[in-house]
Amino acid sequence: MCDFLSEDEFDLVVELMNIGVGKSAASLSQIANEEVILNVPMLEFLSLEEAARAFEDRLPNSLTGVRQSFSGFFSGKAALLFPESRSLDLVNVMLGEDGLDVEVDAELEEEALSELGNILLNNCLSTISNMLDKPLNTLLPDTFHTNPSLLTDQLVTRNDSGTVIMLLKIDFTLKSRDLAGHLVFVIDLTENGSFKSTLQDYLKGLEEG
Amino acid sequence: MKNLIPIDVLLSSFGNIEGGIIILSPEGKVVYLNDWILDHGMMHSDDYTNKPLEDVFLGKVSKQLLDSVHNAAALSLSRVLSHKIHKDILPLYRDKHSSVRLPLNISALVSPLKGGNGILIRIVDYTSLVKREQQIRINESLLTIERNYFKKASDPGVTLEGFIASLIDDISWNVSSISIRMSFINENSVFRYPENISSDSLSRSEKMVQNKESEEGSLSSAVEALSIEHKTRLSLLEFSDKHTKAAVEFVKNSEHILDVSFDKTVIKIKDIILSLIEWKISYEKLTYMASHDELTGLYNRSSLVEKFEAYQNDIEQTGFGHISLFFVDLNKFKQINDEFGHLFGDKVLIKVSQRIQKCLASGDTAYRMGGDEFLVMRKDAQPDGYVDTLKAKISSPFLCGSEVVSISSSVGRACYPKDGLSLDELIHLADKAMYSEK
Repeated sequence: MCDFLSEDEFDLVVELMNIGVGKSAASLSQIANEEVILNVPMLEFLSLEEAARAFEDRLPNSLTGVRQSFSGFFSGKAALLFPESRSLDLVNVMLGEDGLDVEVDAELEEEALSELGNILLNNCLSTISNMLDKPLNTLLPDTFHTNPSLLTDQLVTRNDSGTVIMLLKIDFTLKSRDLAGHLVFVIDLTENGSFKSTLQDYLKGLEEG
Repeated sequence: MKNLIPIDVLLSSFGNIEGGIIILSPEGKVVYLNDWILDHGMMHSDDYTNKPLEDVFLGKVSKQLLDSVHNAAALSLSRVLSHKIHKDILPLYRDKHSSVRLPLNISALVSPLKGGNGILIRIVDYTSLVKREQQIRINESLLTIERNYFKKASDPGVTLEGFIASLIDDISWNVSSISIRMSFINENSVFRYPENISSDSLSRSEKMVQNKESEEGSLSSAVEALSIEHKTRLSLLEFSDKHTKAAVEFVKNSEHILDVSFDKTVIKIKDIILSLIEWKISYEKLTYMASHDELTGLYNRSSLVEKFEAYQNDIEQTGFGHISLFFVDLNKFKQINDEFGHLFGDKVLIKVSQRIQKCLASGDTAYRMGGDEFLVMRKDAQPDGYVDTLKAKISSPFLCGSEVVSISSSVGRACYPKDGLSLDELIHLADKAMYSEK
């Protein structure tokens, strides 16, 4: 794991992500009409090489993802990844299978998947933005299919040392089914790279307050 | 407005999307609605400029959309609202002026414009997309059905009724939005499917066909008229055999299917049913012709081989049983032919065949071997006296035209497996026995 953040900074990010994921769980529960429990068992910061290895080691072979670009005091791409075989499963579990239509518009369901990803990613990003009081904007999400070895190429726009990858595993529990997804934030530090300093400012503010 | 958004640029880039565009100012007031929105949206007036979204759409804007707009304005977050997840995002209808308005199934994509200059909402109409997708699938499955049943029509093991029933089941299963009821009318017999469901209009049209209430050519339009009168979708299928017709009724199962696509699908299904049943009928005729003697309607020589082999197999498998063959030859038939002519002779052959058929027990089969030779096959040992019954039946006098005819016959017999093992051998033996009797 790369030592990009100090221990306190790292704790702060974990806390922010937990709040964001918690909010997402509330939004998803509303849609599913049932309690959706999300938790983040693991968060880590990785360099590009480490991330590439981690993807190949840990992620299932075919992936469906929802990705969304963001920019502001830190910029990059965020993606939510699922095993391909279970991505539409998530949509069906969330919405309740309505029989006839399920097969008819499997393709159109990808958009529902986009929205689910959108909810998660927006909640995480807006929590960071709100708590740290720095503006952040996001573009519309899109779905994509890939495999772990191609993932870095698809998410990383610039291949240099200024890129850090934040990887979170998220466990979903809903309607007595379990599903695990992975959140990947590719953070480009060279562009408006004030992520670390914003974290430091916030921590300083906490001490002073 | 001018310095807010370059609308031309924007719209041209979305030119390939049929759907709505709403542009809001950073304060959330409506700046622009495209024609699509004006055409489909329920709103007070076309004067929407500088009013909040809720006022323009009569307060019927979903909370999620308002939240998303708020988030886009305050936090520059883009948001997808999927049609799968949200209903009633905006009051948009297929035909807003019609009394039965069908709400459009839409997705909304909310994104802040660069530099906080406003908010763009794109509306994608999935109603038509989903409909189109469904129609494509229906067409595909109808094609598959057509292909499968085209093959199935040639299977002699499937009866015409069985064929029709499973064809209608299959179509109904694949096109769940439409129910099909059919009355298949052949002379005076009617086969209805599904059996227990009928309707006034359908039974009325059955009677029209059976009682020949209209002339041949105008029957179909009479059924159409009935269809309009009963406000239903009724059609007459006319087959090339003019004694065979079918009345079909199509019923919409769901109000959500558009009239246009209902019409198109009905026409397609009608064509498929018509051509497949026509095929099945032709195949039935062909199989009949291949196995029966054209003049007398008895089985022909080639089906004797088939039937004998089938019986033989049964006996070999079970290890017991007999097959009896009776070879029948008419005596002095040539004289009748010479005296009264061939046409008269043919008539006599038909009458004799009918008599032979009356001597058959169930499981017995009768064949015309050629000329005035017949054969009766029984899956049994020879009961005593059967030959005499056969002879007596044939020789009893009958009227043919104005002539009274009485014709005697000679019968020879052979039994499997006692007298021989092969069909040729047995026929030869029976033939010989018949001659020695003559």
